[in-house]
Amino acid sequence: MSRDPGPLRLPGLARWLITLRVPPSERSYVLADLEDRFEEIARSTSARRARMWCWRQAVLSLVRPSAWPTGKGRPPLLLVLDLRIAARGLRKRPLQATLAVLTIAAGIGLTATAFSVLWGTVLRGLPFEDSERLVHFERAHPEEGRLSMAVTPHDYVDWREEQRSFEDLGAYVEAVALLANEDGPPDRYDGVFMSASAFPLLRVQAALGRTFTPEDEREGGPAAVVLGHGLWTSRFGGDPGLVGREIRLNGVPTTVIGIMPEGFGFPIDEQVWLPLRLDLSIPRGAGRLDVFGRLAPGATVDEARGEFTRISRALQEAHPLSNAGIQAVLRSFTEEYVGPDFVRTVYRMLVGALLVLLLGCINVAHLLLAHMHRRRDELAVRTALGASRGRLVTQLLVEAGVLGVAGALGGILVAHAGVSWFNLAGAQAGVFALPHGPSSLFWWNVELGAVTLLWIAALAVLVTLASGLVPAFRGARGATASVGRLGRSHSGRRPDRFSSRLVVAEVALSTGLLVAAGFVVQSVVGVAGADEGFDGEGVVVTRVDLPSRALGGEEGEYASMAGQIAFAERLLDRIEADRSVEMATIATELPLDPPAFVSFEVEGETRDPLAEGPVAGVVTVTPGYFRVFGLDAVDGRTLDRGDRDGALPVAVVNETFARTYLGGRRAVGARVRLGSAEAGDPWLTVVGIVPDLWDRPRDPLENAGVYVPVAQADTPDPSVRTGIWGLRYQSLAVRGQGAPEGLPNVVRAAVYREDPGLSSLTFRSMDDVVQARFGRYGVWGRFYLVFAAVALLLAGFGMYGVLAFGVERRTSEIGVRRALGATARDVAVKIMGTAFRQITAGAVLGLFLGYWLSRGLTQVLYDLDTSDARIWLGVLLVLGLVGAAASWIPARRAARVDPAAAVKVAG
Amino acid sequence: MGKGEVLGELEAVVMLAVARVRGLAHGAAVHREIQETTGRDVSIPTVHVTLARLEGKGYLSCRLEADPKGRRARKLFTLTPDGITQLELQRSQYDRLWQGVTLSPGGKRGAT
Repeated sequence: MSRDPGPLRLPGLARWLITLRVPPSERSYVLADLEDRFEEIARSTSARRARMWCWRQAVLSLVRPSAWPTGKGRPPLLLVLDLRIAARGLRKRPLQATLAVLTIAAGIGLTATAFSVLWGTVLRGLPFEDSERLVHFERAHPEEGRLSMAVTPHDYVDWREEQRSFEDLGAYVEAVALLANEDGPPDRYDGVFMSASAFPLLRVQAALGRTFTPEDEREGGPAAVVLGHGLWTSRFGGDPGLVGREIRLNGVPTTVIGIMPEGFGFPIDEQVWLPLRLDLSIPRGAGRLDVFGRLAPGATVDEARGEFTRISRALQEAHPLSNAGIQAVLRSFTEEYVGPDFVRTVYRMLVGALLVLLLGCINVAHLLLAHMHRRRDELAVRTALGASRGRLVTQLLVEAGVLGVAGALGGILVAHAGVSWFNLAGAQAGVFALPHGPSSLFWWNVELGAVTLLWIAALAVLVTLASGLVPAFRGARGATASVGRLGRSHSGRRPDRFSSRLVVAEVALSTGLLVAAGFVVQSVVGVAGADEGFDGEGVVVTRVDLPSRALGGEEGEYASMAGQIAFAERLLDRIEADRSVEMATIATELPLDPPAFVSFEVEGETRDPLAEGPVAGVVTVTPGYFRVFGLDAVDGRTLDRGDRDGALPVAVVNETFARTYLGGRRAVGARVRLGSAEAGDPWLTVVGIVPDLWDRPRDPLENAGVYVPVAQADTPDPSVRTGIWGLRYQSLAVRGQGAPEGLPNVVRAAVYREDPGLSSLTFRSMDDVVQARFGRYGVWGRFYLVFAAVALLLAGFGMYGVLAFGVERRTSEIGVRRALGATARDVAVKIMGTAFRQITAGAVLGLFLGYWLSRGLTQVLYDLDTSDARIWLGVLLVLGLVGAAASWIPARRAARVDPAAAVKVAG
Repeated sequence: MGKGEVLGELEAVVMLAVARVRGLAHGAAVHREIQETTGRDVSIPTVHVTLARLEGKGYLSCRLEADPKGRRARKLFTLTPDGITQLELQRSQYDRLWQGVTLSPGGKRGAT
């Protein structure tokens, strides 16, 4: 409790609990004394101690309720009586009761954690009015297997004009916002270029000022910006006078025209919105935008899809070069942003947690069943004394309820830990596998809130009923049936079918969870030992942003590709001049970044001029790239300083490219053309082959990669090699001679000596980049590992408990068998035989369950191979061992049954 | 009343606490006295129940007092002559029982 204690007050709940059983006539006196004591203690010690004292009082009042003289107090409630009986019963078997509570706590806690994640990310939904009517657009080229392509500005403009199914379309694309400081380099924020139509489509208005109008989108219009509430308060102190004022943004004076409401961070968690000024002078196929729309009143997504099929077809005919084969893909906004993979993952997680909880319920049910059995005499006596069956059932259910409530309280603690851990791990490792990057969406909020607490309460009730109903009814029925047979053994002969079904269910659930967990272990181990294909250890990376006109900056010498290349080369020379630097490189993308995908042709192969050819990932790099990342040519050479403008245009390809497209002949020396002959793109001679390094994606096409030298990037259409931004964003990687700690300062000094106006730099180690990319596999993996560990424990305890109980119930039967000449061995074999039959039945069911669960895991885990026999066999082995241990102990006990004693028990 | 009644353990503790407070004791004072002299954690409702029971047995008398600070009314307890007799009786019983008792670590009681 770090908060300010505030005015001294009794905790309300504690106060209520203390006076709960006090008759109304006495309540005021009790309260007067309670308050006096509370104040005294607060004065002599501290407010915190006084509060703790008060809670201890509440617990005392509950545990040892005071018996008011009859006539003064309320008559004891039946429920209270039941509670006391239950508490007494459970206190007698503290170990079993503790196990049961821990079991339920684990189950409820895990379930509540999974539910918090589901609720906070998916179920709560987008914070926009009628968000289900928002549709996100992409383009696809199915014939080439490219299913997710950005929308080009030209297509966006044409779509917007042609379509009728939507109220309107809006577009946005990420931007960088550099806010000037009094001294030192400007600070960098993530921003978005946003079309004026986008805000009304989202149904949000500025909290202060206004959002964009079409006027703001005009090329050459006055510079305007809309700021987020968070940025406004943190950087500008929430000054309402900021609206209408000018700030220096991306090097130019920009008018703040509006402040968005608190909590708004569209589309991910941005705080700066700039007007989207489309440059339609670029080629039709170039550029990229995110496009969305809001369905017009009455229109459905299917109708919209039909309309866009027609529009796409018209565009294909009108612009065969850029639009051949291109279709529009419409998906709900939620699906695009949360992603079906993520939703499925969270649901499976919830299913896994529910299975653990179910396992817990089975254990508790079983515990109660055994308890009923031992208490059958007591219950019979109570029936004989007139307790109705309903009374008995209620009382037995209360016992289950006590366990359920205690478990729920423990579950809250577990869920609290789970949620905190999940958020922490999520922040660190980008657990949320979003299509749009690892950061978390602005409306996401995973917390242990009221909804989760409600969920926990509901679970506690369910657990009570699920684990308590059957034992309670059986106990009550057994009691009625056996009134006349007090002191004798009852259900001895007939094996209890319910109990053996519990064993089967228990084993099935555990097997399923163990199989899933096995695959998780396989995957986690696989990722930990995976070879990224490059050596990033000791490499420090950053990004240098050159000012660009699109961002409202003054480009100066950086306007031309030649200027950008010259900057890169000068900067590298400066950095490499430092003695602590071994090698540095500038590239359009670093390893693990998605490269630009470009169509290409191979010399000597004819192709249909209208069909788009295959595509390859293209990365433009300086020669140092290969040494920085430890890539050696497997054939030929890597790039070197001689590969300059004017020299022979060259490329280095990766192994997949060489194998897939240059196979059948020597790849080195072959010629490929990125882009097209029409645009004047030259033939590039392949001078070397390097190993693959991109994260093995699911689409094998994307593995084909081409490296071209930065120095030769100034081609007729440089965007083919470097994307529409050219080299305005330069990814920089540096490998040091020794420890990498000093490298950021070296790079910083070099950058600011080169151009003091550039934005501040943030550095990451390549190891962190790798961790961010692969870490989520580990996080999900660990979550399932916890499941598995809990499941295995529960399964072990459960099986042992169930089997031991079975033996106990059959004591008299075993005694008779022994008396009739069965050897100890016979008995042990018989007991274990029964156990193995049940375990086998459970295991078979469990393998199916495990298959289903692990198939779901392939969505989220890396390199998961469900055909790996080791896992299946391993699970069966573990299960067999646990089962053997769980049945061996009771079997031995059964074998030691003294026939005389057992028969005497049987009476 | 009188010799026939046996004081429960908690009843005796509460009565002694009332006696220790001297004069008029309210529940909070009794509770404090028990807490501070014996270190026992008793709930306030339990103190009240016991006080009420002792009142019923006639060992304590009770009167209501409005708090001078204008807050809740409270009950003030004091020992009745019967209560005093009962406490003294109990003490003399205990004293006699304790006479000559030496506790040795192994055995339950020593020899006279």
